[in-house]
Amino acid sequence: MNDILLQAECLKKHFLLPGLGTLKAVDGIDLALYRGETLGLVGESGCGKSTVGRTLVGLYEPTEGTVRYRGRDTATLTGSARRDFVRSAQMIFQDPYASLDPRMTVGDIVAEGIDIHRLCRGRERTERVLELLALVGLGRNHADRYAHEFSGGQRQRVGIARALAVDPSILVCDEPISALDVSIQAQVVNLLASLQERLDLTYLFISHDLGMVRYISNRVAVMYLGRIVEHAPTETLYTEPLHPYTRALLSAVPLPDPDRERDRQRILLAGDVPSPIDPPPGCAFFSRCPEASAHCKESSPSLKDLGGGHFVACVSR
Amino acid sequence: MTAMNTPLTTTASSEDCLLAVRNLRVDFTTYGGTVRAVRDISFHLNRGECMAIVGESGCGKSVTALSILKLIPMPPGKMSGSILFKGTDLVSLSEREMNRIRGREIGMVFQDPMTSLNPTMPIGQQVEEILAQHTPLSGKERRRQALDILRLVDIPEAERRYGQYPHAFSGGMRQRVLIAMAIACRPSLLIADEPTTALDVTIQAQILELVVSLRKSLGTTVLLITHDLGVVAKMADRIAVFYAGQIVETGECRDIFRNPAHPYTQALLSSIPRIDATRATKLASIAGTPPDLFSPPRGCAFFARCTKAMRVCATLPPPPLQRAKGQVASCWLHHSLAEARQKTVPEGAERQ
Repeated sequence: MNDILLQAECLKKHFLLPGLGTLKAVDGIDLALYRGETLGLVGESGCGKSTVGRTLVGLYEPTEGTVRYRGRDTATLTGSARRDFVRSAQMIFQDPYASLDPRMTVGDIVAEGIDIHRLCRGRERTERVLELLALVGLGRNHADRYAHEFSGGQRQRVGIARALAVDPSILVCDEPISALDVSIQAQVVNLLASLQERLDLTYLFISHDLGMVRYISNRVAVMYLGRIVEHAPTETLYTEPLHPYTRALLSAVPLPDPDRERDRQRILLAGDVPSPIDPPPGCAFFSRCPEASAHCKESSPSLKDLGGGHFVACVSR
Repeated sequence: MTAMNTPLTTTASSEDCLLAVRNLRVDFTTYGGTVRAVRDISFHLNRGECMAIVGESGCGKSVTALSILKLIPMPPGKMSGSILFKGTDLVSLSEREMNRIRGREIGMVFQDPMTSLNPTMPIGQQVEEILAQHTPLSGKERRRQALDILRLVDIPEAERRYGQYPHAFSGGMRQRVLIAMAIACRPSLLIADEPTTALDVTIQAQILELVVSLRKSLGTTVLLITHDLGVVAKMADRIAVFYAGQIVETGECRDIFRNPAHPYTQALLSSIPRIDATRATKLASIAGTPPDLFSPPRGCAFFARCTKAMRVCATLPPPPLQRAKGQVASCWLHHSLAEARQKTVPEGAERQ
């Protein structure tokens, strides 16, 4: 487990919005992905979790900081080392309706990566596509069909097969189930879990579904406004959350249990998430924090190591 | 046990009953054929209660909500059955008569707060519009009342926000404005179609608390449509579980969560991972996908995905059978004959 595959150091990704300012989507995060694990990344919309995923696989270039793949700075990789990294870190997207080309057959969608990386051709390529479709629970006859002929769950399976085609070691799953119905979500998550075991995959599982993240992850990082506010092994995070935001987030999720739900104490947060465009200095959570004090406004807390892999960014912890 | 197994129709004393939907069917004619979106459903809503309609996409829950207000386009839509609201059958009302009910007697909150407001009109004016439509208030009184309603739904600095346009509001604030519009005339029934689905979980908690407190202060009856079982557990007194355009189970909220009677409800409840439980070995999932409503199956709609399916399920649609007090499930398993000899179909056999 101590084998770090992918690592972000002081990673920042800012977007310049002409006339509006700088959108600090990711504002200095440290993150490590260990081989074979699933790291859950949770947070509300706009907190920068998708940007983290995209920057890690190289779809975005970081504004500051480095992404290391097996210890090497990915910005300095060239030639075959670069191709190896690009091939090894793949992504599954949220929207299975928009992320598949409607004019390509499913077989060609799955084989696109194989063609780009020139992994195999001809008969071997066809065989590989059928093997991949079987791997994700689709049939041989699906290869010649188009995306519109499939249901949401099946399309997400095609997306997974496409990501697996180039034999990656890291999969960044960006909200892979949020567009799917409950009964289909479980199918896709079970598929991801069994693939992880069979193919020795490492997952970054980005989601706002805290129940699913608890189910699938070994460790969980909580993001708020471009920063990681808490980071811990799954059980620790869910049973002993320390950051006021994590606590509020967990208490806001309604439980599918009327008895527990009725007499539950909820931490209701006032207001909305502030805009990530030119955020004020200090703790990002200051404006909504029920425990905020004067000095929270001045300096932004960095992650403190509390032992046992539990990190929290809050001055009062 | 025979008495327990007699098919039930929704009955309630007319005193308590605010809304009674009977044998509602909604079809849509398309180029590809006729979609049977809602297939013979009956349910009722008692005064003051919150009933939740739960189900997956395409199960007919939104179509049911829209048909109550007759907001489905007709044609291509076609409605039959009856919708008794305070004793009046809405299905037979003219468009003019419906307009006096929409907004005044029945309020509706839609799913998407980003597209449900008029972007070219200040939000205060949008609330006033409802009052202008349904009340004889003067302009000044309307403004005062609209401001009161905006304060009631906890919009901070209501006076300042009054003249602002929707783009200046966040998703949660827009949903508050929509709720303000829906309750502006103090309707006796509020239909909320996935009111928090587009919102983040901390904002969802705020909006749900708002609905709870409004129910307390105004005594509004609520029909809540959602796919989130957590939201249901928090809000609902009673539940109707929808599957493929039909109601498969109804009952008290607590009974259904504790003791789901229909295999679909059981499977749905066990396929959601919980934030308050440690990792189970494998998440239960429901194999397959819901049936195509262009040609709904002859027997039970859940037959092809059901692990407890029997031979009878393939050919005969199950009638609603009472399982416990107030809990009714449309499943042959609860028939007295099935209890006697429960024999499951071998894996794969006779399935579609």
